[in-house]
Amino acid sequence: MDWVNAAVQGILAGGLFALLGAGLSVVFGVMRVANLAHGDFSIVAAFIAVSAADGFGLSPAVSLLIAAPALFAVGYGLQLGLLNGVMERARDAVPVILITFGLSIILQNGLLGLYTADVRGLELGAFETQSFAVSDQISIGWFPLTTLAASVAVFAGLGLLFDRTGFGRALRATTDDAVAAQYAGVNTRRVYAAAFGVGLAVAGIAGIFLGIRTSFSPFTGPVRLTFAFEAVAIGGLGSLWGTFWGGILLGTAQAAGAKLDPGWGVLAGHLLFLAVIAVRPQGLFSRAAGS
Amino acid sequence: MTVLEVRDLQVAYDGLRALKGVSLTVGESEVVALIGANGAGKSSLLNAVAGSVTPIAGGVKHRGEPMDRVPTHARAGRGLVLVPEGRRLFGSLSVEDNIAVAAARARPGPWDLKRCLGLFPLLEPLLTRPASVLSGGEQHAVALCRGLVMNPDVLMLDEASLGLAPAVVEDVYAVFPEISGAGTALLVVEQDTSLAVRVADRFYCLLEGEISLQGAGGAADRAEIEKAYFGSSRWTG
Repeated sequence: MDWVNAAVQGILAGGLFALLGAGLSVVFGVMRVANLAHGDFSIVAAFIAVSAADGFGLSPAVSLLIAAPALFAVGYGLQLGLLNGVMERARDAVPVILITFGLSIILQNGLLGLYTADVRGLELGAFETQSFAVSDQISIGWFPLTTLAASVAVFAGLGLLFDRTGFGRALRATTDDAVAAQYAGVNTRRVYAAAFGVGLAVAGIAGIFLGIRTSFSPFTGPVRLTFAFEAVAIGGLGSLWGTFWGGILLGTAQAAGAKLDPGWGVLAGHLLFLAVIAVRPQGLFSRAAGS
Repeated sequence: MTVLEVRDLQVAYDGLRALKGVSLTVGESEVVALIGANGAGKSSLLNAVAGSVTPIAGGVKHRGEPMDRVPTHARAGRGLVLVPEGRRLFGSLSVEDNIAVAAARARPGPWDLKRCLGLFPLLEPLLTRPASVLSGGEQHAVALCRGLVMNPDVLMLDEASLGLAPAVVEDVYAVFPEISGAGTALLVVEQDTSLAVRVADRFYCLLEGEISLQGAGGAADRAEIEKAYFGSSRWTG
């Protein structure tokens, strides 16, 4: 039964990893660019919630409604004002990736200047720790369950956005062939901007959940990027629902590793990532599994 | 009325000039063929008109309005629509979605999905299929529909018959009169010289980035065209 409990807790933790990976997956899927500042943007959202709580007494749940649109706007502006130009001039994705690396450092130092290096956390009251018992040996926390539900909702929402809307059609067309999309009248610069905005908005949502679940500092972003990247890579680059299942598998591997030895949790996740990449470089679910 | 005017257009790739000052016009509802051997500059010309290639000199006007600063997607939205070589469909999208992407950005006009399906009834049962699984002829029909639903002033077809079975080529050319009859001009790049010249109102022959021959279509002199095509003489008439 202990192993069943470990699996349950791993799945619940995986919901957060999946959420962290969702935005990264969107950006990579559309633009074939790994946003190395992804984790830092999620931490920016968590600090927005800190300011909202300190300044106005707002709950993190309310801050979500501020941080996600704010990050969408930042992402949209960044892509339109900076990254599109670099993408058009560069022969490959390297310069764009380097710029996101630079953004990562700027964001960390900016947050350090604004908030100091103190470790922070977001408060959601008793809900953070409340749970219900499924059996004598298995109990499920309400907050981890909410995180998993939010993760499913975000992936389902993204799926609907991409599969059922005109914007989604334009986005998939741009992903297939950006030049041909322009011949069909699609303003691909704005499509890329919206995709990057959506990616950052989802990173912001993940950042708030992350900030409630665990403590964070201005330098937490790159660590979270690692988990997000592993979820994307395990699921399959460019596969949206693949990223969800990648996150779940990563969480389960970490929980199983921690069950064997408390120090092995994170290592087990990294080993799973390495094994998947070695055996199936395109990821377990590849593009066929998602949008 | 002239809907497309290309004036002294020059295009270069890494210093090598693909177009060396080409001028041409396309009138309303006109079918104009652009012929020439591989490397003559035909595709460069269409790409420059569509906006995906930036010329080093010269310009493109649509209904008298300079297009120099108009990006590719906006040129398509204004009526200069290119069906590119190789068709370049969105492989992961269904046939219907391929057409819907363009239809969502279309100008008002006579062409919509229903009318396109009337032109190519073979597509009706294929609407939900991914474009990537279609045959070459079917893909060609989808590409034409994707262009047509934008209600273009000028529909540019790059290599209209390349890779198609002869019967399919006949089908493609058979729809030209209905397209031009609905008010859309056609600028057709074609390597099958005799076919293109036969169906065109006018034709231009390109040789090494320059116009080597132009004239009326229909019964153009085959010997003259061959000379202009292969470069043994230059003539403009």
